[in-house]
Amino acid sequence: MLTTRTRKRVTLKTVSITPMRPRPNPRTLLACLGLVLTQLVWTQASISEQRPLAGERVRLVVGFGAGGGYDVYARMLAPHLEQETGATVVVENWTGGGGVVALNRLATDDTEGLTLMLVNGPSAVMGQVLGNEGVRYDVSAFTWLGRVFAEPSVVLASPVSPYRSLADLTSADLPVRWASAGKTTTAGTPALVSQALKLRSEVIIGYKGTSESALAALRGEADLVAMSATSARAQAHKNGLVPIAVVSHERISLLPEVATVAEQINLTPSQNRWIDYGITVMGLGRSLATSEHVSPERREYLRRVVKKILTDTTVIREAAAQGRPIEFGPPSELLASINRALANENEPTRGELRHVILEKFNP
Amino acid sequence: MFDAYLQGVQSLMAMDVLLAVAAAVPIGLVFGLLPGLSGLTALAVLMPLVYGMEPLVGLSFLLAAHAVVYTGGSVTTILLGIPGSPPNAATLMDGRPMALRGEAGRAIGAALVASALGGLVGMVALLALLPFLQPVIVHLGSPEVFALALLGISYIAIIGHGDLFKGLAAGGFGIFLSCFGYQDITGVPRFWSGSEYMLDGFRLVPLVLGLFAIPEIVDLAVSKRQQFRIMPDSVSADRLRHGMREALIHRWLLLRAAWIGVLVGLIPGVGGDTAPFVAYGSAKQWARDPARFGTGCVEGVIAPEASNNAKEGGALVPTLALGLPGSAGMVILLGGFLLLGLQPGVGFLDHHTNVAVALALVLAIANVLAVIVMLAAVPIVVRLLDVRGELLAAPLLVLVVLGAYAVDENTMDLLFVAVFGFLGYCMKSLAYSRPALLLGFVLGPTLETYLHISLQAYGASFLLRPGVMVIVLLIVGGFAWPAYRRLRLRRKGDRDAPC
Repeated sequence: MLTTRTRKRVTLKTVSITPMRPRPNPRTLLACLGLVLTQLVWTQASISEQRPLAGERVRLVVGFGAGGGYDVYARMLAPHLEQETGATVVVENWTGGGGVVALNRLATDDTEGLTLMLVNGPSAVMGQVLGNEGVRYDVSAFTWLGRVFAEPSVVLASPVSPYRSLADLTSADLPVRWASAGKTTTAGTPALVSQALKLRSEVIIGYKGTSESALAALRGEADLVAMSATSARAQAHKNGLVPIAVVSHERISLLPEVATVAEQINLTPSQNRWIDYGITVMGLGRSLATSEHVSPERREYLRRVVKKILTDTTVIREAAAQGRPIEFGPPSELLASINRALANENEPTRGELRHVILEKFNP
Repeated sequence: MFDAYLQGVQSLMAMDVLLAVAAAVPIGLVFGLLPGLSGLTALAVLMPLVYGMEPLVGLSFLLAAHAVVYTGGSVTTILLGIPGSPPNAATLMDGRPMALRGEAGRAIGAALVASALGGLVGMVALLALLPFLQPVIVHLGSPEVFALALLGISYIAIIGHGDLFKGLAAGGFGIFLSCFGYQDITGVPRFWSGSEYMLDGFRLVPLVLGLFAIPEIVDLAVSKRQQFRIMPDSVSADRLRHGMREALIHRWLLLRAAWIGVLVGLIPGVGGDTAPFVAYGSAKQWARDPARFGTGCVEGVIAPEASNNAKEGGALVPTLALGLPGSAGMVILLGGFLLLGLQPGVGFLDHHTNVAVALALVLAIANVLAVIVMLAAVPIVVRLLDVRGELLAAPLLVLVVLGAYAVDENTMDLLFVAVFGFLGYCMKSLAYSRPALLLGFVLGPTLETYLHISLQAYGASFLLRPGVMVIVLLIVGGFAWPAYRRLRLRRKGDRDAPC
């Protein structure tokens, strides 16, 4: 019995010992686990640091209705913002007051960069400069993230008018009539060009957008119309309107045969400042901004993200295929232009601008 | 040209295009059935879906959904007295009284056939005008837009049922309400009282829902009577057929109304919402017995519905020919063209006549298909509504609130639904014309803006333009001829009367 027991014990011992590896020390195990957890937490923290908006809900606001140009741009950019930040990006249309309501709300937003807005730069600045009723924002206080696209304005003549160059306009016997949707449409180009060239102009406003203004010129109801370069090229090709001048420092690739204002007329510095002002304001284009209430780290992160998306060649190609070009402009450049456009110190002064754009050419 | 027309027909016959139309029609009808949601909302919601589609497939999908919204809206208008979309408000004047009289089926049958035939007239107009589009549109300028708005506003005196003073007062109040917010010609807001919401003035959808839906809902909720109940047998197949036949009997009225729709749609700036009111006013003006209008006569349903659907064909004309949208809906549709890689404008028809022809045919097919779908759906809708008025009021109120909120997602719109609801209830109780108020509201800004533009561009001589003179003659003739006819009838009656 004893022998059997002993053998059994021995056998048991043999069985239990043979496959056994050195037993890990519980302390070592705990240490390893701690190390792994620390590594995980550190990695996670590092990822969060790199993508601080991951898992958040970001609003991409447009101040105009669904289906319009700004809305389409925003919906095109939203998936790229999502991919880059890891956030859920939702496009929202905060309509009212031609974008003023959305800008007012952005000014008081305190969501730490979770509300972005695709801003109509020229319209936002002109609203502030001209002291439009309802404006409660300060464009220079917004956190600007980058310009998506900007293009200069182009002056087009009616095919039934006698005008084919700026020289024709300056020597006109009768007042020239411009068609426009509003006084500040295309940054007030009709008034600014008229002031710079000392034209006898009348700006007829009230048309429903660029298309109807173009139709007015096509009918001969107005002699001239100003619009963005892309629309101008389309109107020239589609409807036979005649582009006579680009309000820009240099010629543009969309309409290479059309001369700039400076190429056609020798302007004195006092005349030129009106053209310069128009160029500066139109240069603000469609830009991305967020509220001023955002930490410097978040601001820099958002700027990096926006720059990465808007300079990505795949994104640019995809956007161009949809007829929505992208041409990134850095925030520093934007802010400098905004400060110039606000006319706090530079000429023309706000008072002069109000007189010229709101009163002088609007009988 | 004939080859291009043939190609257009062939492109339409592709299975994916037909499927897109078949899918879009029920969607558009649902948008129409829900109070407050318009064709504009349908286009904005559906636009992202077409990205990546073949151009003709995507455009057919959008156009078909947009074109049939008013067809669905007419059914809600007649059955509930709530305009499915703002332009359906004109159908309310006679459609609702017919329904309350137990003739809902007759009214719906007439409305559906008028809508379909109106859509067909729109297609014919589009196809016929394709070769002459540019000169036609270029010769219709701001003075003509002003004159047409004047023609529309002159109908305030006609559509106000009964008391002329009350009609004019309601119309005048509508013009007053339209003066709030940004003025187009100065860019300066009026009467905005420092409220951001009021920068854009009062909105159309809360106004329509408040004026027309809330009083009906209040009546449903507080009245124990059965008078608001739509009985299933009032929309029996026989009654629907009867209404459909009547639309065909009044074919000249239908054609005239449809052409009014085409004309209003054709001229960018007038605004498509005006067409059904002008068509209604014209029908009443030229009727043998204008007093029947407003009491539930079928002509008052046929005229606005025919013009509603026809105006889409008219609005497509400047959109395709010049790249200039003829209505607010066409603005979004134009975005759809660009999204799908097509750029409408003068050159467009040189290279894409087949697309234009195919789209004209899509209009026709969608309108006919919508009638078939609605004929099948009406009994189901009526069965859903066959409950006591008090029980129906709550879900209807929910739909109205959702419809008002869905447009801009602005809670202020809900407040104004309530405010205009109170106004609408008072107006209904005191027999002031709510459609006259709506017409004044819609046309007030057009009248002001285009008078200003016409004076600036042409001076007072704009009144001597041939188009303006023709429209002014129509206005004067429109008032003088019925008066002359009534006078002649009275004299004849005096002569025939026994001494």
